Amino acid sequence: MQVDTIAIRELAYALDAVGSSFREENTAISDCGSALVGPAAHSASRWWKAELQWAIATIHAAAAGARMAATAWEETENAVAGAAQALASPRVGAVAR
Amino acid sequence: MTQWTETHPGAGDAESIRHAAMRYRAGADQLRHLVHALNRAPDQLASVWTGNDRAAWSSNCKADAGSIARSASSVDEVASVWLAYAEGVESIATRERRLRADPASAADENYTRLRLNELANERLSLDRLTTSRLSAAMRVVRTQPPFDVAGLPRSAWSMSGFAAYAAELSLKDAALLMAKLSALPPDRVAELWSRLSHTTRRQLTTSAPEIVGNLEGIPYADRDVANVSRLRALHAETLSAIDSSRLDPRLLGRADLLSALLERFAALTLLLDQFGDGKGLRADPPQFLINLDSNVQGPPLASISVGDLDTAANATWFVPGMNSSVLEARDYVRLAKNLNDRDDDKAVVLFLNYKSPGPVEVLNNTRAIAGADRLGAMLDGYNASRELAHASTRLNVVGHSYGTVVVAIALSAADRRVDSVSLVASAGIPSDINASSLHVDSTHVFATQAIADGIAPLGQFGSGRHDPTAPSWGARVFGSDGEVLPDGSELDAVDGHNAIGGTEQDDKYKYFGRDTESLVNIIHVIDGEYREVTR
Repeated sequence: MQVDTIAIRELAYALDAVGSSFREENTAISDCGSALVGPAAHSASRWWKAELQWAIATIHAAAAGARMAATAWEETENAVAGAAQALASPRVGAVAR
Repeated sequence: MTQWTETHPGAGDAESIRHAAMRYRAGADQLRHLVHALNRAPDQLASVWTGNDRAAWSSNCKADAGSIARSASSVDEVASVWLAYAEGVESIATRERRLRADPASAADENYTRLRLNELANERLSLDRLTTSRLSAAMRVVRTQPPFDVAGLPRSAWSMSGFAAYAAELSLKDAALLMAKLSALPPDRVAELWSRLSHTTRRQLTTSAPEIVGNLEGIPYADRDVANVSRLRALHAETLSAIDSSRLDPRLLGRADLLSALLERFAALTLLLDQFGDGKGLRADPPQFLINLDSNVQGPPLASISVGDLDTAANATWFVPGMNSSVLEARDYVRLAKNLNDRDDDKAVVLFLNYKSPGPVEVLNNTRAIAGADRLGAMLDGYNASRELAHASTRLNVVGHSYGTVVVAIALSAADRRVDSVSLVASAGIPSDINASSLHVDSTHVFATQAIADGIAPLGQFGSGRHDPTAPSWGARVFGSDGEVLPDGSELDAVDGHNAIGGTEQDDKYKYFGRDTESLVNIIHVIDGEYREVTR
């Protein structure tokens, strides 16, 4: 298994940036120039808003998933490094031997 | 926004409608940008991240990209509907203007009213058509999560969203989520579980091991981890119940309850001995505790896979007969090893997952009906797992004695996509079931009964159930009374009713003992070598 946690974090950051760039656009589109199709225009507008929110949440979730994997790996590496360091210290090493 | 009337059917601002349409079109482009980012992400990390979690994460990214792409197409369709509407409104408005400018119209009020009425009807149709096209375009709206789990926040409705949501839950909330997932069909569970990271799977397993260990669709190795993790606590709990029972006045004169407790303790001791401290996985072949139901009196119900069921190319469920339980697990493990025939690509599941009958209950079908439900669920779960893995594995079912009743009822109830069935020393099959009712190619339904077996005929006679070795029943009958093969080697005859002995030495001459004609034939059936089966 091979894991470069820095590269994973960079990609997660890039995905978050893509998601965040759409927040400004997340506004309702309701004026369709006709009162009789008004309810349909409103529901299309609500639908669009929900779709965009869902898509943005999805891309942030993908970023979060990658970031969580990176964190899990870093914690494992730190634990292994910590254990190795502890074993290398003369006092613990003597006990371990 | 403008309200049109019968006297002004061309009211409305086509330009503002077009403007809205263009904003939807731009929105679709935005969504496609997200699709592109999600599609590219897994490839960007291909060289720096390998392993199972990457596979789950990438698969989520791709699935979500597909889903957002479908959403983008719908948004495009909404834009097209609005553009068509703008064109329609504009056309009606133009004709209304022409009508009002027409000298003939000024001279004849009735003519004008008639023409305006026509235009109003056209506008009404246009509005209706627009409304219906809009609702059709919006049908892809996500009204529920991909796995139909109630109560999840909307952000958890996508694959990536669900995985991230599950990863962040507290132990208590993870247990609640598992309770919800346990209501899903096995194919959904299998798909969902495959999309979670290793860490999240472990978290869910710790939060609700009794659910994870028994939930069909979850890989058998994960179920084993969950079930084995429960053994020590169950063992201690039972020991403490036995200790306190001495002081419990309610148990005075209830030898049955005390004996059930002692049997439970013995069964859990045996399971701990077989599976504790990773012993099951170190065994040769490895053994997995693939289900553990402690909600019964006496020994818990359990299934043990001898061989790795997640990867085996050939899987066999063995269903034992009366008086069988976890207490006999060691003997049945020897039976499974004999069936595996030292083939690493095989797995045999010991189905000790039903309350087998005693000598009285063996004559009715009640225990078999309950067992068949549990067997059917396990087979359906196995099918869901192999479908997700696109694995074309072989699935066989073998029943012994009363186990053949369980098998017959489970397979006749639904198509469990079973390749072969072996009914050994049957205690009789219910009269409404024959070889052709099992949803299995009837030329792959086999039965045997040794001449020296005096118990099987008693079971058939006492219960009124049918002998599957009778020609009218429709199974292919194979021999178990000993045979000399063309190469001169001799196969032993079976000398009684038992499937296996109480010791390795005692296994000789049993239906599943080494070197019996019966065992050799069953292995041929399991391997699909039907021509090799002796009569």
